[in-house]
Amino acid sequence: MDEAKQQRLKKVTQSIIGLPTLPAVVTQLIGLIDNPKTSARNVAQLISADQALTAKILKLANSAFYGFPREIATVDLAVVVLGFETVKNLGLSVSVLERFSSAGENTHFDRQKFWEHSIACGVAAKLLAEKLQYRSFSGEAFAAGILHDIGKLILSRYFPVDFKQIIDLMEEGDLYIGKAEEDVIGVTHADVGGWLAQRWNLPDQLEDAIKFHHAPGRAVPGRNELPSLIHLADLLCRRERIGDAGGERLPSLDPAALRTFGIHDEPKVAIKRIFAYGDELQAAMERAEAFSSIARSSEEDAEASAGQAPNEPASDDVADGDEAQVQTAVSDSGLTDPSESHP
Amino acid sequence: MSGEVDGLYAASGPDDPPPDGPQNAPPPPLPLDRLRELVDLVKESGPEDVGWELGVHVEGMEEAVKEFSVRVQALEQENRQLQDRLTRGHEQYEQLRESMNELLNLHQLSETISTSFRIEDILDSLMDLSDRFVPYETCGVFSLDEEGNKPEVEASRGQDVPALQVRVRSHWEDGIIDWVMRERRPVVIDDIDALSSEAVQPRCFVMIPLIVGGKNVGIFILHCAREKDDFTLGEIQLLDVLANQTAAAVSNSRHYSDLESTHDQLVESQQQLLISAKQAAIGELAGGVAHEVNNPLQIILSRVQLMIAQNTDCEPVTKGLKLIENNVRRISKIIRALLGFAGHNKADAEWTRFDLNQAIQQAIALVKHQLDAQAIEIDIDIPDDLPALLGNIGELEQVFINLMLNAQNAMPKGGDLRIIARVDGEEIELRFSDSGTGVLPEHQDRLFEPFFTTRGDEGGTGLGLAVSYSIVEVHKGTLSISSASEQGATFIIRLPVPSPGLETSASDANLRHSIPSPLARAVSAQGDSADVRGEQASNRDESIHIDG
Repeated sequence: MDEAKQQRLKKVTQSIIGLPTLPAVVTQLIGLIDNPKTSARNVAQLISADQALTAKILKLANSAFYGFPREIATVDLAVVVLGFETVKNLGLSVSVLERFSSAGENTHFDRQKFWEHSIACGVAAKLLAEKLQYRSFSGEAFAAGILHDIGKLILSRYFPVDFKQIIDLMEEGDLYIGKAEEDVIGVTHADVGGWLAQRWNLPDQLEDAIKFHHAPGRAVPGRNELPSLIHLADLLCRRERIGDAGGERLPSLDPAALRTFGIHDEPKVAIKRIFAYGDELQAAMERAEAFSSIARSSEEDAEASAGQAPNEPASDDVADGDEAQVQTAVSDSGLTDPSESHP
Repeated sequence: MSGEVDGLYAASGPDDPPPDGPQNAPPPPLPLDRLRELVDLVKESGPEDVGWELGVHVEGMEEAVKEFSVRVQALEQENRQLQDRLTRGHEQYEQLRESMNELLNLHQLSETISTSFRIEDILDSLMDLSDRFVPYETCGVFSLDEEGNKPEVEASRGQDVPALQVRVRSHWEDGIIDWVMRERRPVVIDDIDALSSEAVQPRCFVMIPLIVGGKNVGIFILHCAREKDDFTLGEIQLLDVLANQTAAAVSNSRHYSDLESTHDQLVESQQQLLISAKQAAIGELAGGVAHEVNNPLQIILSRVQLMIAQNTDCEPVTKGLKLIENNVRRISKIIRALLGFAGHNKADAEWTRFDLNQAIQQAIALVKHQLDAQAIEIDIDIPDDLPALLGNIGELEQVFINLMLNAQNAMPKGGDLRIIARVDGEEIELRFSDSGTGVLPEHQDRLFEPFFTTRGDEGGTGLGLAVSYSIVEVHKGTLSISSASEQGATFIIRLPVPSPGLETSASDANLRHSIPSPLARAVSAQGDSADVRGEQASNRDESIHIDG
């Protein structure tokens, strides 16, 4: 990222106060799975302490998406059957789904469809990881797909005014959302998402995947498989029109993504090989219904609690009380430089 | 730690300068334990009793003791911190050592792999090394194929392999093996039987897919006497690496043996090509000569017949002419056989129906001279009403010639050659039995291998029987040997009786391309059959000359 953009990103992120944090259990989980000495029992003990998380992980582990022929009744079995990575990424995905579900913030943004797109992208990433034989990423790939557009949620939540402008600009000018974001605030949702991943100490792989999912060619050489995978998965989901990631326009294809997987054909021809997995993606999405239902219920819970109490009482480490102030502060700070914005 | 305590103690030795005074004197260093005792003593019985030992005046004792206590506490804290660091250091050292061991194990596997091209060795070292960091009771490598057949055990170790096989079968039927292969990573599951039966140790299965180039080739399964929860991320990663290495090695080993057999085939066909070229040239020459000789022969014959007709009154002349006529007819017969032979042996010769009896007779005509020279009696027992066979008569004649020359070489001092044909169901069985030296049992298996010869020093190429075998195979028949030592050998050809409608079998033509030109082989038979036994190879090249 060039210097000027770095500055702009700093300017944007500095005005974000009260950012949701990851639940402690997920942070611990990420740390635990960094250590080769971690046993399945360690992971199960950590997760089992959080009953809600345990229930969700077991629900997903037993879903058709994983399709294990027997019942997975305990977290420790989930760990050894689905793998440490998968359980970690399940925990991470579920937590992010919950942390960012809150209703009534933004009318230009259909969260249900946003999550549908994110889940589809995760499913597509896992599918492509298998098809392109990058098996080491299949666990990571799913989480990366779910998280790749997290920057959009940040923008819509913390910069509602700017975000509305971005959406308007996108619709009027028939622009791709990333372009509109650049025009309005000078950085894209990928940049903001990458920054968030860093703040949350997510694994480097995930951070790269979020940051470079529109331009995998710009990722560090040798670390660009996951960004490439997410880039292709994103294109596949948009082509299949699953969910809505904002805007009708497809992001442009970065040929580097195909080259990463040894596909050196003419990009317009080569991408057809990726698009050919559309039917399989649609079938896999049906199996992934459990994820969508968790996303839906999270949104509904959030809506319900928002309706009951404006100042969410129980929400542990989210500084929800400050949110109103935050938004005012942002508006006051005049983040959007009118001269920069699109006429 | 102990060093510091020693230092304190040493400082109280005789070389120390004497304390300046009771107030200012720094407390003389004492061992920690002793200090603790003194502090306790002061608390119990007052400072006076311990004053002498510390070498200070009683008046300053209380303050000194306080100071001591603080110092003792500080030292104890330091002691604890150092001990913590030591423990951590030990732990890190242990972890490092373990990692080193794991690396060494992996290295060892890589080494076995890079030096071994035998699948058995590779699987052996996989099972050895796995046991070192994931001890198991029983383990097995099971092969899986693309058709989805049951997993079959390829290699195994341990206490109860049959039981493991049964369990693997049931996992396969439950779809768990299939699931693991799709996941492409090691999976641990409970051994449900061990869970349900009480008082038995918990057990689990570790299933590690073996995948080469995206294709499932097998699964490595460990049955371990431990709980599934005990497995660490590191162990599972290690098993994954191990399995990948093994799969790659197995794939390399397969490539290697493929390469080897391709190489062998190449050498074989190259040799055959060389021989073909040489023999084709000789065959062409022989055919030409036969043709050239045949014309003058016809003239001689007609003149002799004319002379016989004109000289009926002169007995001696007629007798002489009759002898000439008979011998010319004999020459003519051989030449006709040779020409017919050359005609049959065009590379694109079609399959026709032919009479086995006639084919045998033609083959005999070509080798009779050689057999006669070696005092070999030929006894033919072929019924006249045999059904016609379908095939390339030239090629089959060559097979018969090969077998007859083989018999000849087995009987250097003369003997009997019996040729018997019988109808046996849908097949005709043809036997060539000699009364020669027989074939050693250890040679029987290899008899039809190309280049297998016991007469290498006499110029046998080891191709005669191999070529015969492949010709019979192309004709959908079989060629086998039954031999009891000392009683000679019997070669048995079984050929199918064709169904009535089938005239020519053009579809078989492509099959026959794998065999060198039939003419070349026909002639090579003269030179190269009979590789297996006997000793003397008669003047083989002459045998195709028409000097009978």
